[in-house]
Amino acid sequence: MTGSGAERGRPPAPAEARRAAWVAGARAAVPFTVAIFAFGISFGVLARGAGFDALAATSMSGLVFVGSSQFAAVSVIANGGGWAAAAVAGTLLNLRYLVMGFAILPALRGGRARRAVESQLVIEESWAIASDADGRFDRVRLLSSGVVLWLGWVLGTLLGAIGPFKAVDILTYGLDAVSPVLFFLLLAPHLGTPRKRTAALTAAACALVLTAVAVPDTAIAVACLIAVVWTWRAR
Amino acid sequence: MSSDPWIVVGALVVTTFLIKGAGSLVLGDRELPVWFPRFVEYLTPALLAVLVVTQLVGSAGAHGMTFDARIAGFAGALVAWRLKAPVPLVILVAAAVTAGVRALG
Repeated sequence: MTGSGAERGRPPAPAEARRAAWVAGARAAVPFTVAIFAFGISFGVLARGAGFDALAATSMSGLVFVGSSQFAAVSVIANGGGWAAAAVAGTLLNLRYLVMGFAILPALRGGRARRAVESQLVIEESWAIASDADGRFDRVRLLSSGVVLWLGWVLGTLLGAIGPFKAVDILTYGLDAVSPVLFFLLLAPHLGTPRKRTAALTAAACALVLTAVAVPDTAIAVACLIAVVWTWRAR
Repeated sequence: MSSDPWIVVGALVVTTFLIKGAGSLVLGDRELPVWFPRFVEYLTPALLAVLVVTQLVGSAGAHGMTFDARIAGFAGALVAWRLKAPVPLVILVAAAVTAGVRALG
Protein backbone atom coordinates (compact mmCIF):
# COMPACT_ATOMS: atom_id res chain seq x y z
CA MET A 1 0.00 0.00 0.00
CA THR A 2 1.30 3.44 -0.87
CA GLY A 3 -1.04 5.23 1.49
CA SER A 4 -1.43 8.08 -0.95
CA GLY A 5 -5.15 8.16 -0.33
CA ALA A 6 -4.68 8.84 3.36
CA GLU A 7 -2.08 11.55 2.74
CA ARG A 8 -4.35 13.41 0.37
CA GLY A 9 -6.57 15.99 2.03
CA ARG A 10 -7.75 16.02 5.61
CA PRO A 11 -8.51 12.97 7.75
CA PRO A 12 -12.11 11.73 7.41
CA ALA A 13 -14.44 13.89 9.47
CA PRO A 14 -16.61 12.33 12.17
CA ALA A 15 -20.14 11.47 11.09
CA GLU A 16 -21.64 14.46 12.84
CA ALA A 17 -19.37 17.01 11.18
CA ARG A 18 -20.03 15.37 7.85
CA ARG A 19 -23.77 15.57 8.32
CA ALA A 20 -23.40 19.27 9.19
CA ALA A 21 -21.42 19.77 5.98
CA TRP A 22 -24.15 18.03 3.95
CA VAL A 23 -26.75 20.37 5.40
CA ALA A 24 -24.53 23.45 5.01
CA GLY A 25 -23.85 22.67 1.35
CA ALA A 26 -27.46 21.94 0.49
CA ARG A 27 -28.70 25.04 2.32
CA ALA A 28 -26.11 27.31 0.66
CA ALA A 29 -27.23 25.96 -2.72
CA VAL A 30 -30.93 26.79 -2.29
CA PRO A 31 -30.91 30.47 -3.39
CA PHE A 32 -28.75 29.54 -6.38
CA THR A 33 -31.08 26.68 -7.21
CA VAL A 34 -34.02 29.08 -7.47
CA ALA A 35 -32.06 31.11 -10.03
CA ILE A 36 -30.83 28.00 -11.84
CA PHE A 37 -34.34 26.54 -11.92
CA ALA A 38 -35.58 29.69 -13.70
CA PHE A 39 -32.53 29.57 -15.98
CA GLY A 40 -33.36 25.92 -16.70
CA ILE A 41 -36.88 26.84 -17.74
CA SER A 42 -35.54 29.36 -20.24
CA PHE A 43 -33.07 26.78 -21.52
CA GLY A 44 -35.88 24.26 -21.99
CA VAL A 45 -37.88 26.85 -23.93
CA LEU A 46 -34.88 27.64 -26.15
CA ALA A 47 -34.12 23.95 -26.75
CA ARG A 48 -37.74 23.23 -27.68
CA GLY A 49 -37.59 26.07 -30.20
CA ALA A 50 -34.38 24.60 -31.67
CA GLY A 51 -36.05 21.24 -32.36
CA PHE A 52 -34.98 19.35 -29.21
CA ASP A 53 -37.69 17.16 -27.74
CA ALA A 54 -38.18 17.17 -23.97
CA LEU A 55 -36.15 13.97 -23.54
CA ALA A 56 -33.16 15.31 -25.49
CA ALA A 57 -33.20 18.67 -23.67
CA THR A 58 -33.54 17.09 -20.23
CA SER A 59 -30.88 14.44 -20.95
CA MET A 60 -28.54 17.20 -22.02
CA SER A 61 -29.10 19.10 -18.77
CA GLY A 62 -28.73 15.96 -16.68
CA LEU A 63 -25.50 14.80 -18.32
CA VAL A 64 -23.77 18.04 -19.29
CA PHE A 65 -24.94 20.26 -16.41
CA VAL A 66 -23.27 23.44 -17.70
CA GLY A 67 -25.81 26.16 -18.49
CA SER A 68 -23.59 28.45 -20.53
CA SER A 69 -22.23 25.61 -22.64
CA GLN A 70 -25.68 24.16 -23.33
CA PHE A 71 -27.07 27.59 -24.21
CA ALA A 72 -24.20 28.15 -26.64
CA ALA A 73 -24.63 24.76 -28.33
CA VAL A 74 -28.41 25.04 -28.66
CA SER A 75 -28.18 28.65 -29.89
CA VAL A 76 -25.93 27.52 -32.74
CA ILE A 77 -28.56 24.94 -33.75
CA ALA A 78 -31.36 27.51 -33.35
CA ASN A 79 -29.49 29.85 -35.69
CA GLY A 80 -29.25 27.12 -38.33
CA GLY A 81 -25.70 25.93 -37.58
CA GLY A 82 -24.58 22.30 -37.78
CA TRP A 83 -24.03 19.85 -34.94
CA ALA A 84 -20.24 20.12 -35.15
CA ALA A 85 -20.24 23.90 -34.71
CA ALA A 86 -22.72 23.51 -31.86
CA ALA A 87 -20.55 20.93 -30.10
CA VAL A 88 -17.40 23.07 -30.53
CA ALA A 89 -19.14 26.17 -29.15
CA GLY A 90 -20.39 24.23 -26.13
CA THR A 91 -17.02 22.61 -25.53
CA LEU A 92 -15.12 25.91 -25.62
CA LEU A 93 -17.32 27.29 -22.84
CA ASN A 94 -16.51 24.19 -20.79
CA LEU A 95 -12.76 24.74 -20.83
CA ARG A 96 -12.80 26.72 -17.57
CA TYR A 97 -13.69 23.47 -15.81
CA LEU A 98 -10.23 22.17 -16.63
CA VAL A 99 -8.75 24.56 -14.07
CA MET A 100 -11.63 24.20 -11.61
CA GLY A 101 -11.49 20.40 -11.89
CA PHE A 102 -7.78 20.33 -11.08
CA ALA A 103 -8.35 22.71 -8.18
CA ILE A 104 -10.98 20.53 -6.53
CA LEU A 105 -9.05 17.29 -7.07
CA PRO A 106 -7.26 17.12 -3.68
CA ALA A 107 -10.64 17.15 -1.91
CA LEU A 108 -12.06 14.17 -3.79
CA ARG A 109 -11.65 10.56 -2.73
CA GLY A 110 -11.62 7.11 -4.25
CA GLY A 111 -10.25 5.82 -7.53
CA ARG A 112 -9.75 7.66 -10.77
CA ALA A 113 -13.18 6.82 -12.17
CA ARG A 114 -15.04 7.79 -9.01
CA ARG A 115 -13.22 11.10 -8.75
CA ALA A 116 -13.91 11.80 -12.42
CA VAL A 117 -17.61 11.16 -11.83
CA GLU A 118 -17.70 13.30 -8.67
CA SER A 119 -16.02 16.08 -10.66
CA GLN A 120 -19.09 16.22 -12.89
CA LEU A 121 -20.95 18.02 -10.09
CA VAL A 122 -18.54 20.94 -10.38
CA ILE A 123 -20.15 24.13 -11.63
CA GLU A 124 -19.26 27.66 -10.50
CA GLU A 125 -21.85 27.63 -7.70
CA SER A 126 -20.99 24.25 -6.17
CA TRP A 127 -17.28 24.95 -6.61
CA ALA A 128 -17.56 28.27 -4.77
CA ILE A 129 -19.79 26.82 -2.03
CA ALA A 130 -17.25 24.05 -1.46
CA SER A 131 -14.25 26.38 -1.34
CA ASP A 132 -12.64 27.52 1.90
CA ALA A 133 -10.72 30.78 2.19
CA ASP A 134 -7.41 28.91 2.43
CA GLY A 135 -7.71 27.51 -1.10
CA ARG A 136 -8.93 24.09 0.00
CA PHE A 137 -12.26 22.47 -0.85
CA ASP A 138 -14.80 20.44 1.09
CA ARG A 139 -15.92 17.33 -0.77
CA VAL A 140 -19.19 16.93 1.11
CA ARG A 141 -20.27 20.54 0.48
CA LEU A 142 -19.41 20.08 -3.21
CA LEU A 143 -21.56 16.96 -3.53
CA SER A 144 -24.55 18.16 -1.50
CA SER A 145 -24.75 21.59 -3.15
CA GLY A 146 -24.06 19.99 -6.54
CA VAL A 147 -26.96 17.55 -6.21
CA VAL A 148 -29.42 20.28 -5.16
CA LEU A 149 -28.32 22.55 -8.03
CA TRP A 150 -28.46 19.62 -10.48
CA LEU A 151 -32.06 18.84 -9.49
CA GLY A 152 -33.06 22.48 -10.03
CA TRP A 153 -31.38 22.61 -13.42
CA VAL A 154 -32.85 19.32 -14.68
CA LEU A 155 -36.38 19.96 -13.40
CA GLY A 156 -36.30 23.53 -14.75
CA THR A 157 -35.25 22.25 -18.17
CA LEU A 158 -37.99 19.62 -18.18
CA LEU A 159 -40.60 22.20 -17.22
CA GLY A 160 -39.40 24.63 -19.89
CA ALA A 161 -39.34 21.92 -22.56
CA ILE A 162 -42.87 20.67 -21.90
CA GLY A 163 -44.59 23.66 -20.29
CA PRO A 164 -46.28 26.78 -21.59
CA PHE A 165 -43.45 29.07 -20.44
CA LYS A 166 -41.77 31.91 -22.23
CA ALA A 167 -38.15 32.88 -21.52
CA VAL A 168 -39.21 36.49 -20.93
CA ASP A 169 -40.67 35.63 -17.51
CA ILE A 170 -37.15 35.81 -16.11
CA LEU A 171 -36.95 39.49 -17.00
CA THR A 172 -40.42 40.30 -15.66
CA TYR A 173 -39.55 38.96 -12.22
CA GLY A 174 -36.08 40.49 -12.15
CA LEU A 175 -34.47 37.05 -11.87
CA ASP A 176 -31.62 38.06 -14.15
CA ALA A 177 -30.29 40.28 -11.32
CA VAL A 178 -30.11 37.32 -8.97
CA SER A 179 -27.03 35.62 -10.36
CA PRO A 180 -24.61 38.61 -10.17
CA VAL A 181 -25.76 39.18 -6.57
CA LEU A 182 -25.27 35.51 -5.70
CA PHE A 183 -21.80 35.50 -7.20
CA PHE A 184 -21.02 38.62 -5.20
CA LEU A 185 -22.17 36.88 -2.02
CA LEU A 186 -19.88 33.96 -2.88
CA LEU A 187 -17.03 36.37 -3.62
CA ALA A 188 -17.26 38.34 -0.35
CA PRO A 189 -15.65 35.68 1.91
CA HIS A 190 -12.68 35.44 -0.49
CA LEU A 191 -11.65 39.10 -0.09
CA GLY A 192 -9.91 38.64 3.26
CA THR A 193 -6.44 39.85 2.28
CA PRO A 194 -5.28 42.93 0.29
CA ARG A 195 -3.74 40.65 -2.36
CA LYS A 196 -7.02 38.77 -2.88
CA ARG A 197 -8.86 42.09 -3.12
CA THR A 198 -6.48 43.42 -5.78
CA ALA A 199 -6.76 40.14 -7.70
CA ALA A 200 -10.57 40.41 -7.64
CA LEU A 201 -10.57 44.11 -8.58
CA THR A 202 -8.14 43.57 -11.44
CA ALA A 203 -10.21 40.66 -12.72
CA ALA A 204 -13.41 42.72 -12.47
CA ALA A 205 -11.82 45.61 -14.39
CA CYS A 206 -10.60 43.23 -17.11
CA ALA A 207 -14.04 41.63 -17.31
CA LEU A 208 -15.64 45.08 -17.80
CA VAL A 209 -13.27 45.90 -20.66
CA LEU A 210 -13.67 42.46 -22.28
CA THR A 211 -17.47 42.67 -22.02
CA ALA A 212 -17.35 46.16 -23.56
CA VAL A 213 -15.45 44.82 -26.58
CA ALA A 214 -17.90 41.90 -26.80
CA VAL A 215 -15.59 39.02 -25.85
CA PRO A 216 -16.77 38.31 -22.27
CA ASP A 217 -15.97 34.60 -22.55
CA THR A 218 -12.25 35.36 -22.66
CA ALA A 219 -12.50 36.95 -19.19
CA ILE A 220 -12.38 33.49 -17.60
CA ALA A 221 -8.98 32.88 -19.19
CA VAL A 222 -7.84 36.32 -18.02
CA ALA A 223 -8.90 35.44 -14.46
CA CYS A 224 -6.64 32.36 -14.64
CA LEU A 225 -3.81 34.55 -15.90
CA ILE A 226 -4.33 37.03 -13.05
CA ALA A 227 -4.24 34.17 -10.54
CA VAL A 228 -0.95 32.96 -12.05
CA VAL A 229 0.61 36.43 -11.83
CA TRP A 230 -0.58 36.95 -8.23
CA THR A 231 0.69 33.50 -7.23
CA TRP A 232 4.07 34.30 -8.76
CA ARG A 233 4.25 37.71 -7.02
CA ALA A 234 3.36 36.15 -3.65
CA ARG A 235 6.33 33.74 -3.62
CA MET B 1 -37.26 15.44 -37.76
CA SER B 2 -33.53 15.97 -37.56
CA SER B 3 -31.20 13.75 -35.56
CA ASP B 4 -28.90 16.73 -34.90
CA PRO B 5 -30.13 17.38 -31.36
CA TRP B 6 -29.11 13.93 -30.17
CA ILE B 7 -25.72 14.15 -31.90
CA VAL B 8 -25.07 17.48 -30.17
CA VAL B 9 -26.16 16.03 -26.83
CA GLY B 10 -23.88 13.01 -27.29
CA ALA B 11 -20.86 15.06 -28.38
CA LEU B 12 -21.24 17.59 -25.59
CA VAL B 13 -21.73 14.89 -22.96
CA VAL B 14 -18.45 13.24 -23.98
CA THR B 15 -16.37 16.43 -24.12
CA THR B 16 -17.83 17.73 -20.84
CA PHE B 17 -17.09 14.47 -19.04
CA LEU B 18 -13.50 14.50 -20.27
CA ILE B 19 -12.94 18.16 -19.39
CA LYS B 20 -14.54 18.06 -15.95
CA GLY B 21 -12.88 14.75 -15.15
CA ALA B 22 -9.51 15.67 -16.67
CA GLY B 23 -7.90 16.33 -13.30
CA SER B 24 -8.54 12.82 -12.07
CA LEU B 25 -8.09 11.11 -15.43
CA VAL B 26 -4.75 12.78 -16.22
CA LEU B 27 -3.25 13.19 -12.79
CA GLY B 28 -4.29 9.87 -11.30
CA ASP B 29 -2.71 9.45 -7.88
CA ARG B 30 0.09 11.95 -8.33
CA GLU B 31 0.14 15.00 -6.06
CA LEU B 32 -0.51 18.54 -7.28
CA PRO B 33 2.48 20.91 -7.12
CA VAL B 34 2.93 22.87 -3.87
CA TRP B 35 2.11 26.25 -5.44
CA PHE B 36 -1.29 25.04 -6.59
CA PRO B 37 -3.37 25.80 -3.44
CA ARG B 38 -2.02 29.38 -3.46
CA PHE B 39 -2.97 29.68 -7.13
CA VAL B 40 -6.49 28.55 -6.26
CA GLU B 41 -6.63 31.11 -3.42
CA TYR B 42 -6.26 33.86 -6.04
CA LEU B 43 -8.18 32.07 -8.77
CA THR B 44 -11.37 31.92 -6.68
CA PRO B 45 -11.82 35.68 -6.08
CA ALA B 46 -10.65 36.50 -9.62
CA LEU B 47 -13.06 34.06 -11.24
CA LEU B 48 -16.00 35.10 -9.05
CA ALA B 49 -15.30 38.80 -9.71
CA VAL B 50 -15.39 38.08 -13.44
CA LEU B 51 -18.72 36.29 -13.03
CA VAL B 52 -20.22 39.19 -11.06
CA VAL B 53 -19.28 41.62 -13.83
CA THR B 54 -20.28 39.47 -16.81
CA GLN B 55 -23.60 38.53 -15.20
CA LEU B 56 -24.26 42.17 -14.30
CA VAL B 57 -23.48 44.00 -17.56
CA GLY B 58 -23.30 41.21 -20.11
CA SER B 59 -26.22 39.79 -22.05
CA ALA B 60 -26.63 36.74 -24.21
CA GLY B 61 -28.33 38.50 -27.12
CA ALA B 62 -26.32 41.73 -27.36
CA HIS B 63 -22.70 42.64 -28.03
CA GLY B 64 -20.93 44.93 -25.58
CA MET B 65 -22.17 46.11 -22.22
CA THR B 66 -25.83 46.38 -21.30
CA PHE B 67 -26.76 48.75 -18.50
CA ASP B 68 -30.32 47.96 -17.48
CA ALA B 69 -32.47 47.48 -14.37
CA ARG B 70 -30.06 44.81 -13.10
CA ILE B 71 -27.70 47.60 -11.94
CA ALA B 72 -30.42 49.04 -9.68
CA GLY B 73 -31.24 45.58 -8.33
CA PHE B 74 -27.56 44.90 -7.66
CA ALA B 75 -27.15 48.25 -5.87
CA GLY B 76 -30.22 47.53 -3.74
CA ALA B 77 -28.88 44.12 -2.85
CA LEU B 78 -25.51 45.61 -1.87
CA VAL B 79 -27.27 47.97 0.54
CA ALA B 80 -29.23 45.06 2.04
CA TRP B 81 -25.99 43.07 2.35
CA ARG B 82 -24.21 45.98 4.10
CA LEU B 83 -27.14 46.13 6.53
CA LYS B 84 -26.45 42.44 7.25
CA ALA B 85 -29.76 41.23 5.84
CA PRO B 86 -30.05 37.42 5.52
CA VAL B 87 -29.21 35.94 2.11
CA PRO B 88 -32.81 35.20 0.98
CA LEU B 89 -33.76 38.82 1.72
CA VAL B 90 -30.74 40.13 -0.22
CA ILE B 91 -31.83 38.01 -3.21
CA LEU B 92 -35.42 39.16 -2.87
CA VAL B 93 -34.32 42.82 -2.85
CA ALA B 94 -32.26 42.23 -6.01
CA ALA B 95 -35.16 40.67 -7.91
CA ALA B 96 -37.81 43.06 -6.58
CA VAL B 97 -35.85 46.24 -7.32
CA THR B 98 -34.92 44.97 -10.78
CA ALA B 99 -38.49 43.98 -11.59
CA GLY B 100 -39.80 47.29 -10.21
CA VAL B 101 -37.39 49.48 -12.15
CA ARG B 102 -38.07 47.45 -15.31
CA ALA B 103 -41.85 47.74 -14.86
CA LEU B 104 -41.58 51.52 -14.43
CA GLY B 105 -39.22 51.94 -17.38
